[in-house]
Amino acid sequence: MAEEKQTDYTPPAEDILLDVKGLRKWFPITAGLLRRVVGHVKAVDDISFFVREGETLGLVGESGCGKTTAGRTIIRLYEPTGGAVYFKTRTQTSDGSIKWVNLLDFDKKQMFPIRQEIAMIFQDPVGSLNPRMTVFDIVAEPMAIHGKGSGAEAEETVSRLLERVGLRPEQMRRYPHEFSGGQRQRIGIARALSLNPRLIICDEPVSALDVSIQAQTLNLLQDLQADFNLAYVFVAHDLSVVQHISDRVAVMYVGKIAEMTYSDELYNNPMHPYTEALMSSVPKPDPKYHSERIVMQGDVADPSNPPPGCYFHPRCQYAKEVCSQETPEWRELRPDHFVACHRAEELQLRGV
Amino acid sequence: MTENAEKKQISQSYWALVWWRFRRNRMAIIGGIIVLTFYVVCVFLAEFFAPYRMATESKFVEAPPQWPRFRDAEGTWHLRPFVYGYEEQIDTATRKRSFVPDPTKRYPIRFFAPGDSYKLFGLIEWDRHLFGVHPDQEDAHIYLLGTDRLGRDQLSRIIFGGRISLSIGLAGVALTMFFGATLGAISGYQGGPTDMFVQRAGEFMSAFPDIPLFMALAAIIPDDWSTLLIYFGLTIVLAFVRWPGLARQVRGLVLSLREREYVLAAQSFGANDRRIVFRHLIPGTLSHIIVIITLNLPGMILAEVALSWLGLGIRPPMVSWGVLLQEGGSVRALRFTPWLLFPILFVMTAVMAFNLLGDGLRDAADPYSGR
Amino acid sequence: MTEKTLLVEIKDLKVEFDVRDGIVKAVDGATFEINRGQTLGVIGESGCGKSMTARAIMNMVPKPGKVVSGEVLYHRCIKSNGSEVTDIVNTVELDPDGDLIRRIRGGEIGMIFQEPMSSLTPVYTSGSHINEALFLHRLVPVRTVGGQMAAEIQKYRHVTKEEAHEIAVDMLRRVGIPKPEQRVKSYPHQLSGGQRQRVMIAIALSCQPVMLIADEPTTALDVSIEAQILDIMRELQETVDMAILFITHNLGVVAEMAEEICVMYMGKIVERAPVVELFYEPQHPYARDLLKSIPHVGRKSRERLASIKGMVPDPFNLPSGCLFHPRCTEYMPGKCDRIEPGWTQVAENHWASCLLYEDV
Repeated sequence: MAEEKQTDYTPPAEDILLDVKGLRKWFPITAGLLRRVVGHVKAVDDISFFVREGETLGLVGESGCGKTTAGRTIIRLYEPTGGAVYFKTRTQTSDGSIKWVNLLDFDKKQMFPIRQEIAMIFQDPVGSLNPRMTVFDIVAEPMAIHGKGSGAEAEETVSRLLERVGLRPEQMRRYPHEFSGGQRQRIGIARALSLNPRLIICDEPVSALDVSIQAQTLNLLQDLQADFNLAYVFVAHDLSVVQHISDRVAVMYVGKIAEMTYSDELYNNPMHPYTEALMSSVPKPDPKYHSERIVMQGDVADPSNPPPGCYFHPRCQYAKEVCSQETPEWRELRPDHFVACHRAEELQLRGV
Repeated sequence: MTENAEKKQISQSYWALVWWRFRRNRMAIIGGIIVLTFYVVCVFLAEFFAPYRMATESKFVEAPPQWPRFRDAEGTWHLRPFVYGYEEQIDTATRKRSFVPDPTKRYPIRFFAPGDSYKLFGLIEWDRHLFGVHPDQEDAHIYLLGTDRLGRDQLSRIIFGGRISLSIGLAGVALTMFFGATLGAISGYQGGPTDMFVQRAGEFMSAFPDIPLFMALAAIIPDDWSTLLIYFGLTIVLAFVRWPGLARQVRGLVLSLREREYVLAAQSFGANDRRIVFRHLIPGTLSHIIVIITLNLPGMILAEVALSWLGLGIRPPMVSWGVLLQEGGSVRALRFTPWLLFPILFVMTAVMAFNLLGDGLRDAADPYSGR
Repeated sequence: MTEKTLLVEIKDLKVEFDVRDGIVKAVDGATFEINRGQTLGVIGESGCGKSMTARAIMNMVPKPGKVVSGEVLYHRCIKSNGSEVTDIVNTVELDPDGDLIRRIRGGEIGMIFQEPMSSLTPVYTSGSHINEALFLHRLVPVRTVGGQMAAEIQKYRHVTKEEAHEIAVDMLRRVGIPKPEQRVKSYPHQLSGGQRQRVMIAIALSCQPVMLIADEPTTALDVSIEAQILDIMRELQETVDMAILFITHNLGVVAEMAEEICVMYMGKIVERAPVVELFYEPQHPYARDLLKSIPHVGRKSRERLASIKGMVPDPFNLPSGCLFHPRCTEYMPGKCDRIEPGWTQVAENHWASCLLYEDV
């Protein structure tokens, strides 16, 4: 039972809700009969970002970049290996006033009330709902776990939530398999909203949906954000979706953040070669769009054996010697525009 | 879904879907009906279906089965079936007494016939049996499957024996399920040292040769215990030996279910381990568990039969199929009183029926992806 | 090549699935042509029938589906007595296990599929499962990559084992796999997803087919790898003059790859146009709405996306008249719910199936 650690933390600004500093999640690699640890998969390796109230921070990257792991580690679904996650909570004081805590210091019991304030939406509309439970049971489960409302009260809340996400309340006695993928995602969203969270971690919520359903779901998420002043950490691999819904975007590569800034700024003035190359690689739904594509050679780096120095240097067309020797520093080169690249100041990169 | 489709469709829970699929499998339905029949006849309403009491002795020792007939020796057809009585014969050479059918004695079979009184379900006094012969007729008796060396009706004993064999199977399997499923689920969910310990313990148990283990454990049951205690003891023995199998399978299922996103979702809301195991994991495994135990039941029955046949399980005066086979399973019996081996037929039918049922359940409960 | 020669003609193709709850029309009257050397894109969302169309061309429709009517006329070019003769074969009428279709599959028409198992179950049923258990052209885990490639090459081209092996190495190089001589000895699980897909392309192309059917080939790949694969496909197409039937739901990919596009909805083709016209002047309301609902990188963000209202209809309860009318912004009551639209030409080489353009 961890004792109450005093958190020496002052937020850089009033409206910040979540501040991640130096987050690490390493998975041990074992070998041999005795399962000795021979190395680590550095899924998340020292990342820092913050999220303001009511804003959306996009976490984008390709497979193996650690974005999903980061989202889950913040909410303590995975045990972190290092770093700090500062969160502005109202559950730690008797009168509901604000207190800053480090989530990574909390044990399971202390985390419990915080889980009302941070919810999660998952990618797989099929797998994220228990097929043996009715929609009512699913949406009401968080309330049941936290002892908030039961019986008629719960039914009313669930009704309201289902209506808010665009489903008919009469359907709460049905089972998930009777709904389409898009509807199932809405059930998941309703469930996430049930305890009035302030922050929702969205783990690829539209990736498994059809194009036209994606639009509906994204619109819903935006509406809910406006109505309830929700903050989102929006994890996705689809750059166009992320740009659309996010206020700010962090681009991840092999466990580190390459660049983070406002989404318009990112797309018009990228400062990291990976961002530039990534955006150039995305096929644009515009046949008249012709531009020289920057093709990154080789495969995405292996998080269990990343290249020395800057992880991106083997695929970077601007790489110099220093890039293979030293890890680049995470710096704020312009207001609210962070980059980790040795050559960021000198390079003139192309936006979209 | 469009409006019309929604109105048409009634909410289908997982089990409703399973039932729907199950219904289409004819063999499985047959298996299910047979199983149900066995339980109703042998376990619940044994006293009603059996014409005689379990231990009623008679002078008709080692008498052959009396087949029901519709046509008598003169060739006349009767509407009501009847059986021939016995005539005693003594073989002059060996001085052996035997019984042969005697066409002069005809006992019409009556349904809902009065007979030995009993308490239905242990509560209601009654004396009617499904079938029997008129008690007023001199020496009337109906031994459809013959008698044993004490003149006891085989059919009745088979029915009462079924009560023990089938219920031990069920109880044993229920215990196994309780132990095995819970241990397996916890083991699979917790992982780490708990998992290792439970698995090694299970492997250790499984590695023991079956029969010697059974024998050793059964031998531990004291002889002087009441038959009821022996019964319970035996059930526990059977469950004790079988739990690792179920545990291992449940663990495997849990391992795969554990990674499902709905488990992750529950964890993200702060569900504790107990809730996850009992509310999310075990229901997900329930269909598999039911299939597994349905397929394990015959094994339990066969184990009881084997043990009792070896004299280590149910012992007389309690009767089970194993006990009956022990009494009937000798070379002498084979030669002179082969009808004493009828219990084998019942055992085989029960086992096959359970297998059909289990297979059908497994097919119906197949990977449910939840579309 | 300015002259267009027909390669494959699909005429009024209908593929149905007989499932417990009824009959599902996976493909309901598709008609289009593919010319030599051309890239035709087929776009649509899940359940529209695009994958089934591809399978029907190869006579590979999985049970319980079958082709109930229509033709797929493949114009085979065979050398006979020194000259080239075109033989027209209706693939849907061939014996699915026969020699001819086997030679065509892989040897003359290559295929690549999406890498992992996808959830592209096209039908929303409350009954049975449509099982796409087609393991043709998957990499077997226990044989080396090189071995499998050589086996495929030998099947369709009359070369010796050593020659097949060399061709395999060469193909690996051409699809951009580094150190192909070493890679040829590795097993499929030692390769990444992108590399495996490249191997599949290499296999498909090593037999020098006249057409490649690519069914969602890059959907499961990272963007950076996807870019590489698309480049390779385009490059190889130029060198070999191969036609590509590119099936996808990704509008960005199809905008890059295709010259002409067919848009499918619920088993029917609703619009066909050259790529620029489709993106800039879509005529069918579904195509229009679809294009408006995708977020564009670089476009102003934080606006609401125009979304198509409603959902894909229940296949057992199809709307009357035009299948899209319940979701259509241009719905004309009395017309669209009663009459099924035909196929109207709206501009040069541009057709749409919509009552807006028909005189009724």
